[in-house]
Amino acid sequence: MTRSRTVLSASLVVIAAVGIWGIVDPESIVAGASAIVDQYFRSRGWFVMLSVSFMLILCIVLAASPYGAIRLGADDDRPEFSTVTWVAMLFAAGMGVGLLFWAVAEPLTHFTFAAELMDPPLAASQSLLATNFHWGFHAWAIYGTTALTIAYFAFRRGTPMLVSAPLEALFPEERWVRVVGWLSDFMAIVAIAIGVAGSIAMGVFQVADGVDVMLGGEAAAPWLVAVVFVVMVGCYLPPLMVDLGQGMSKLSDIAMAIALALVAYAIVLGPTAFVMNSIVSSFGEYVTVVIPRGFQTLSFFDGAVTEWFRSWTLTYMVWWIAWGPFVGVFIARISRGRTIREFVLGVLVGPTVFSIVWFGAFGGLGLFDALQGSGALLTATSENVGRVTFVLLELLPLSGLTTLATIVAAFLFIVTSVVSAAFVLAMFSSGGNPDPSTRLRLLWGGLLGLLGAAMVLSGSIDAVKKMIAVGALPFVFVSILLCVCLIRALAEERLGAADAHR
Amino acid sequence: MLTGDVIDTVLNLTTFSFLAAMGWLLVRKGR
Repeated sequence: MTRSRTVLSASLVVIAAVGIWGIVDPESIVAGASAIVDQYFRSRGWFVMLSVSFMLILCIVLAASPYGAIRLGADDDRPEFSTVTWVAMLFAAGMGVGLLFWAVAEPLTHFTFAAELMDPPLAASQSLLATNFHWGFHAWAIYGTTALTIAYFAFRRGTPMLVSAPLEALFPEERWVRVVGWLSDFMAIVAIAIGVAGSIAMGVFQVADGVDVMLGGEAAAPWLVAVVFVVMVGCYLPPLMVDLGQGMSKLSDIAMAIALALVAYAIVLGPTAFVMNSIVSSFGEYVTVVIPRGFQTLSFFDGAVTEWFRSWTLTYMVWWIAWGPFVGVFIARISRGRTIREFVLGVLVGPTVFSIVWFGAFGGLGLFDALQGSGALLTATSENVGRVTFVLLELLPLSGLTTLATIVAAFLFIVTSVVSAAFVLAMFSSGGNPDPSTRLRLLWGGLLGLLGAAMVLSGSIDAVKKMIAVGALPFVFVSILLCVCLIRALAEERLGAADAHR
Repeated sequence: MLTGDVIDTVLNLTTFSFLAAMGWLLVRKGR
């Protein structure tokens, strides 16, 4: 059996088994995932934080050093997309539906927790700081280093776009490399499949809640969740059969445009001065502590704080790591011709600034309601996090229109994510073939649906987070391995250039 | 006693081994 066949077979078996287990006995799979994740986070929390901080510092050092001038491609290659289009594409790929889901719910969940430990104004600023930390530079440094390594090796050394390719290019013909390379590809596939299935579940919960709000219900009924799930799967399967070319990126542009319109609408129609103050102050607080915060493991605090840290900060970091190879390949494909410096600045700064504005605006509105308003959003957060964005929209004018727009954007984010994920999975499981067969893409689309169903049946967003984390844990090691390959390759290129000068 | 949890120790020993392996990959002579 060829190597790509064994990677494909092993990952299919594991993913199908996880999907079936999740559908047959959701409770036991969630309990198993929780036990593994809890142990891993207890023992290796420090390692996850050290790793993500290392990735961010590596990005900064590369951009600031002479290595920043190295071009991802031939020296005379130039970028295919304008910088603005490129940053918008990066952002839509990396964040997607989570943004809509967590816009208000995340800052308010942190606020509820922090308000028990400190004064409300301080709790409010800490809640925005934590949210910005989870969605900011570290997340993009994880994507950035994975993407940079894949892009560098693909465009400068001509390797296939596989997670194992950098290692095999640096140490060809070595037996251990074949084993580690195989495992890396396998772990990348598992991490992507489970990570994307988790987002399908999140999108399904979000859309079902939105539709339920429009129907005037109190909570989305199981049949509604099932209908939304089936419609979603029905919408992403056809694009896997026919290549829509630019069509998919247009859908993602529409989702992104809706997100932009929503944030502008929230800033203008909400308490504008309060929201702008919240954006500016949360930006300032975040950028001044971003590096030390990355090393913060909160180990001297009591059980509740460490539990919060594991279930939020560590979970987010491994979630980004799970999405790393998928978003990494996408970012690599659209970044040919950029220098490492342009790449790092674009990937880190553009999306992070947008996140800060997004959460400053929606989180700011939520905090305004908690501190000076009715407190309805806080109540909604404690009852059902998936519904909070819609409860907020109901407190602003034109809520019917904005609710519908949010549902459409969530739907589009999920459909485009699943279509691209199925493509990347098919590519990874066919030895890096840039044009994988329709059958393979459909197979992955079907499996993502199966896994997504397992996640939806787990019933809660917390269970989904645990399952994503368990899929991503082994890939933390692969991410560091990729960084090491990049550093070594850049050093080799520099030495080669120095030798050529002599 | 300050003795740690066994699983914790074993997991971290593998983490240390991994970090050592990464160090070795960075400094070893290629090809």
